[in-house]
Amino acid sequence: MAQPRASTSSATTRFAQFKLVLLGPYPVLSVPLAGWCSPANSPSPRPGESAVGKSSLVLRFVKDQFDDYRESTIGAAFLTQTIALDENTTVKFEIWDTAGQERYKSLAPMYYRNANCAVVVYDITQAASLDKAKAWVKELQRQANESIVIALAGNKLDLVTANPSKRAIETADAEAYANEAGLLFLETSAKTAENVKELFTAIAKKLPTDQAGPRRPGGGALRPGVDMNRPQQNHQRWYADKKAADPTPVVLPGSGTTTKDVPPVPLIPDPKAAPPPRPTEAVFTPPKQTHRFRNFFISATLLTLLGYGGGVYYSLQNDNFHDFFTEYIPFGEQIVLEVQDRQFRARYAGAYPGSIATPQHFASVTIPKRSGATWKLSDKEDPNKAQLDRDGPYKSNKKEEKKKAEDFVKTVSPAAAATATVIAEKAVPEGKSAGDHVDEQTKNTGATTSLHEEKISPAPVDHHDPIMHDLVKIINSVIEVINQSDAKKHFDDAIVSAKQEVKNVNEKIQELKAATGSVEPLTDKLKEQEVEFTKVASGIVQTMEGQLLAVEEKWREEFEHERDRLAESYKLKLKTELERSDALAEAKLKNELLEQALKLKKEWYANLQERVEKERDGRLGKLKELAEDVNKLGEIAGVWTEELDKNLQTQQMHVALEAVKASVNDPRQPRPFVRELAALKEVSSDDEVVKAAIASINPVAYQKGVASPAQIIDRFRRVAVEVRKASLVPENAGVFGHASSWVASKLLFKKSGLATSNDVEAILARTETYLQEGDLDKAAREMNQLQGWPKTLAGDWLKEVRVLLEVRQAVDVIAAQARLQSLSRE
Amino acid sequence: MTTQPAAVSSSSSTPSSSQVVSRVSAPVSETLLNDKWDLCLSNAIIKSGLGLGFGIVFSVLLFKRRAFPAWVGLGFGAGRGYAECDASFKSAAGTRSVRA
Repeated sequence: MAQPRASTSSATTRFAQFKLVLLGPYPVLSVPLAGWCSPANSPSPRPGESAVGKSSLVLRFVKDQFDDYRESTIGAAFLTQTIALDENTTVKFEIWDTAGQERYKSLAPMYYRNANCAVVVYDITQAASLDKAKAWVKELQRQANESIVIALAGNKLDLVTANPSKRAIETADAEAYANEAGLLFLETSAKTAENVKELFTAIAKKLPTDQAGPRRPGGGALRPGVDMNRPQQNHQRWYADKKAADPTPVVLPGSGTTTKDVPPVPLIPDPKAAPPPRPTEAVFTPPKQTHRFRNFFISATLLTLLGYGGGVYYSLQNDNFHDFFTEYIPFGEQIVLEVQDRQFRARYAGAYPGSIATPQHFASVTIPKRSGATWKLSDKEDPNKAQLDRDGPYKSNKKEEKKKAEDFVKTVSPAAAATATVIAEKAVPEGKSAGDHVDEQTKNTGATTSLHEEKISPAPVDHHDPIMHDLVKIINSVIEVINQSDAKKHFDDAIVSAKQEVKNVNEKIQELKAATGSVEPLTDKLKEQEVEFTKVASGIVQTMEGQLLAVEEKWREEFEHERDRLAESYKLKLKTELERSDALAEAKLKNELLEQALKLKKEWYANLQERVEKERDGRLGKLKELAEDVNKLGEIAGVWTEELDKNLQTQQMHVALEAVKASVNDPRQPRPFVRELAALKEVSSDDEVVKAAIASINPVAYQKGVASPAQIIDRFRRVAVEVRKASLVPENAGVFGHASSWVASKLLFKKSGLATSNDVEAILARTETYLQEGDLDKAAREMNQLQGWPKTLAGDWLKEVRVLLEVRQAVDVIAAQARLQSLSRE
Repeated sequence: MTTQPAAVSSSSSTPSSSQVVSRVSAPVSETLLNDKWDLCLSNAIIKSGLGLGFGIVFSVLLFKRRAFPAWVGLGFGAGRGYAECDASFKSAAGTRSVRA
């Protein structure tokens, strides 16, 4: 503005940046001003009602767009827009579009805190929105930056233009308020973009573009880079209300940012001038002092006290809760115990001796030994009284207390009289309350002086009760003491009552004694009765003795009678017993006779049998001899059949042997001869020699058969070729050894007949010769002489020959045996 | 040489009954050396062939089709065959035991 040049050249351009806050019901829009001269941001909050169109307004301003249905802003949105005020002044707005909803209200201070300017938006179709806007303005003026530039924007002008009846807030009203509060005011429409640009331009113009927000720390000195690029020559302020801002260039050498005097910004409204009517103010009253801590402390204390109080009370009522409270609540037990203790003391004040007379008092008391006013005495009196006129431990307690006090007073030495008096005085009224009748009597005798009383007391007691006598004496001495002292009046009541008590005691004793006098006539009566009783008793005894004698005589007679009867019955029994035994003896004799008869009969039979047997044995003996002869003949016949069997066996053996030989020598070989051999073994079942011979045969021989001599010779020819090939193989030969042996063997001279040398060729020749002769045994021996590979190659042939030889040998042996057997038979 | 054992077995088995067949299956002592020779030769041929093959492959892949790798491979194979054959002969004598 100040510079004539329209370009944005760094040398002449003025650039400002502001923080702007948009406020609806609670939003803020800030426009920080920055630039070479004012790098800091100055806030510019702009509050408005929710849904008054803050976001739409910003959107229109920043992007020149409009959206009919925008979602409500959450928290705040941040946008920036740069506008050129004139050719060389640019203003950048940092816009904080705050959320309008009530719940985001507490966030607003965060946004408008450093704002340079604020736009408070309200909805001209909603009357309430202006009130809230006013509230915002007030809050901004109070809380925000002092120099904040506030603009009031009535949005939704398009609605009103379309339908004027919708208008709820007159332009004049709002304008009046704006003027009053020192705000910029415009009615805008985000939808039609009416006045939007103008609004922000007005704000920009009103902002001091050469200066940062006054609150910004070191505002002028920031952003040196920017400053260096813009050697500023102009330092001036622009104010929206002074559109033609003073362009006087102020050159301040050596300073990138200089500040002119800040003219008083007429934006801070008079607090009194703030809009008074604010029905909705309560909703967003600014945070005030809450006294939270204090309130918390007080309420906590109260609650604790209440809790403990209630707990103690209830624990006194309920045993279960008592247990719970004393066990789990800290200090609960102590408190409850203390309360219980206090209650107990309140009820039984005399329960603890210490509570009545502290040991200190006793320490100062000296009791004269001769006085006799001992505790024991009064104690002895107690049981009598307690039974007669005391109603309970409570009252007796109090009386005792009084008595003690009295005794104490009486025994106190004059020096300690003063203190003792106090106690006695205390004790006396209690005594009064304890027994009313005493009081009445004391009133009757109240007029009498202490001297008269002294004469009255001893008279009735004297004659029989020594204890009472002593007691009265003691009281008299006490009275004397009191009479001598000045405090006579104080003891009047006490002494009168004491005397009355003594009197009462005396009366009671007399009553008791009188009661004892009436016992004598009873004892006389008892004695008379006793005499009568003894008389009656002696009479009873005599009659009883007479009866006893009569009974005894009667029993004696009966006894003798009974004895006679028993004797008779025994005699009878004896008789019958004798008769019975006689009969038994007779029967026995008869039985013996019968037995003898039977014996005789048996003997006769036995003799008869004996004779018959003798006759029979004679003939049977001859028959036995005949049978023996027949047996002998049978034996002889058996021997002969055996012989015959053996002969047959030998024959069979020969046959079997022949069969074996035939199969062994069969030219159609090999064929097994197991069956033949088995038969042979069967036939010669017992012959050891045959068995051994058969066992010597290799099982392979009879299972697979043996080769015939022809076959053996044939095979020998083939084996000989191979053996010859390997005949020259050296020991441990490899490939070359074998190959050379093979080749060399072809060159060897053939030998024939029984060659003498011991080489392989000679052995082969000899073997062949033996084989041609048919001497298998010798041939095998020759071949067995071979060594190394030749022997290995001939191994199987040798085995075959050996098997054949074995079989032949075995067969020869069996044949010899068979021949031997047949010879032995003949 | 290699045909001889077969001829022997056939000639011996023809006249005999069926039981002889089992006998043929078992190695006969006189054919031991011939069997070894058969095995050695076939083994040597296979090993040599393998060596030659590898040699050719190497020559093609690595040595620009020059001949020497094939020869070397053949040599390796034949050498291996010979060694195993030798061992198989000597194993009978108990010096080395390699099953060719």
